[in-house]
Amino acid sequence: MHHRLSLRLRPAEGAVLRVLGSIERRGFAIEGIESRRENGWIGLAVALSGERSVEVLARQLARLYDVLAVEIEAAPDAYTAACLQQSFGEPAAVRP
Amino acid sequence: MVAEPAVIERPAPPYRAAEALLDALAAEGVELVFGYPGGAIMPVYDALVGHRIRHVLVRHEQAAALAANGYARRTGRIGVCLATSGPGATNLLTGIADAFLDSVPLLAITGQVATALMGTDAFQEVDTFGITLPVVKHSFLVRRPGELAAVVHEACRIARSGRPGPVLIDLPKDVAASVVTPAGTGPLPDPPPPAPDPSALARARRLLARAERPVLYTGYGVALAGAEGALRALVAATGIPVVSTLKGLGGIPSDDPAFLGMLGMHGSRAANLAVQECDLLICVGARFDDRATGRLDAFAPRAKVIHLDRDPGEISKLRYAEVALCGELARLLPALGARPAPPAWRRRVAELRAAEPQPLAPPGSAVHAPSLLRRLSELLPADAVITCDVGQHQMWVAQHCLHRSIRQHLTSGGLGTMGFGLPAAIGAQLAEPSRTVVCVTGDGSFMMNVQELATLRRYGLPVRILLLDNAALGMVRQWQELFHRERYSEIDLSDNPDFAALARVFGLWAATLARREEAEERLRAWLEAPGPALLHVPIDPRANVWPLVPPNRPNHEQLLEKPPCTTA
Repeated sequence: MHHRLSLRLRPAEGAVLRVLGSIERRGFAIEGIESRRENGWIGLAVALSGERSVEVLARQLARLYDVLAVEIEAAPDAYTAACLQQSFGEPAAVRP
Repeated sequence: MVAEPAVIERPAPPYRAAEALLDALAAEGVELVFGYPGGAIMPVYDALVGHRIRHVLVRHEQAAALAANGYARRTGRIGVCLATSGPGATNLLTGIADAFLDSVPLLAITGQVATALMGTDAFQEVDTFGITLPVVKHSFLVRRPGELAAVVHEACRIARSGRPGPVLIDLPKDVAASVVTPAGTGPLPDPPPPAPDPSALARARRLLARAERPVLYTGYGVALAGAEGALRALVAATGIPVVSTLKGLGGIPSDDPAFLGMLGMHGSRAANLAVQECDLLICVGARFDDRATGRLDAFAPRAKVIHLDRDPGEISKLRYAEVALCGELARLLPALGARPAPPAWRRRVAELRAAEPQPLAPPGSAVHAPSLLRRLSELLPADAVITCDVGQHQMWVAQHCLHRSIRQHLTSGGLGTMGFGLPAAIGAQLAEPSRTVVCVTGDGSFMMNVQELATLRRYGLPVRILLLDNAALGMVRQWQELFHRERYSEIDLSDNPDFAALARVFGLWAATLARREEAEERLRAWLEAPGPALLHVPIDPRANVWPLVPPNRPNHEQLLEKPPCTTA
């Protein structure tokens, strides 16, 4: 299964590495990345593939302190949409 | 007449970031830190002189991380460990990973080479931030001295809030030594927990109302959430049977009629069969770990799942949850509105509980570890703390000791860290100097942090060590016997040192208990001995842990004894 995630990260040392490492360790292959520095945050788009649930992955990434928002570029299940809220940062933007 | 001594006015020493670090920790309520000094962390050790934070010097950095880990598990407060760069930091790693897998609030502070040297392969330089990335909840590499106090407060908030975990602060030497302005900052408020989802609660209530065979499957999350009271109230009101993970033991007292024991690989028969037969599994602060579930696709095959957890990342990770309830367990459990378990199911569960096979001591005079641990449990004060190492003895403690509350039983569940028991006992004993703290260990695990006997002696910590010695790496030996055609590979420890003599060399009271008829007298003498004390107990090297679910088998296919043919 191929997926695409868009993330908004704190502009902190190690933020991108932390996210990419988590994606691979959770059993997904990274097929492409785009990253850009915006005003006060880092935008990261990741194309990935894997057999496990991308919704679970998105929630695992959302709990990282440096992750301010995660979007799954396909409709996430309702439960995941509801809980992609980052406890420490601004609310996650989830595409309906 | 004696002249008054002249007062020499000295300028106040400059306030450095290292002192700001300690002041911020003190503002967080940290009273003691476990550590080991070295080159890059020297500014912090300089600031420790005369500071109100107490430092406990261990003999290996791994023990600093594990002692802080044990302190945190016992108290629920943040455990703090300190080490220098390079090997100091890498030695902390096992204790940090242990805290990560078991959700323990730990703050690890490591010295780093000066910023100008970072990236040049300097003496004792290692990328601590990078090495620890996969095993921390979060980490900071502090480059601006003025931010250090704020980083400490944020690190503490992250470590303790939500699902707790370890946080690393890597601190370059020049940053720690920089002069800063006192910040006078304090702890930050925890982020609010997610609000319970009313529609999910309504669905959970409907499932509970329809369930004919409900089972509560509880884990360490119950302790992390301070939800033991809510769990006990729910069980008292409904009689729903409870099974527990290794780390959830004590959530319901072991002798509660609704408690069926630990589930999983070395779980009780009653617990495993009840889960396999249930039609509704209510998972409370547990995570469907492979040691608990056995073969996952055959785990609780008839059950729908309600999963209550603080961490949304655990929901449907391994087992699909029909209903997910994320939030504070202490609020969610009463909100379930569960009705009493149906009488027919309660009768079935009572039958299972009554039919639980009890291990009997074989003939002879060799000490039978399960019986000894059961007797120890009876002799100990009700509020005693037991720490364990990893292996057969750890499973015997789980199975045969009476667990009254979760934080009385400190065991390395996720990482399975041999060498955990003694440093964890040091942490627990320093947290509560008057508490009885027992470390049950094995001859393999004990030698992994044996140097900490010197720490026991130095601080006069009255930890009781019970060393079950089967002259082997017993759990590995058991698997080789059962699943590797008795091809024994590197498990023989029959040339162990004389453990009682070894303990005496470190200044401990020590005795040996070799025959079961001596047990009562030796146990009592050991428990009453002054200061730290070790009881060395040789046991039958062939003893195995039963029951056992073979790897990749469903939990109802557990073995109660060695089968006639055991080829895997």
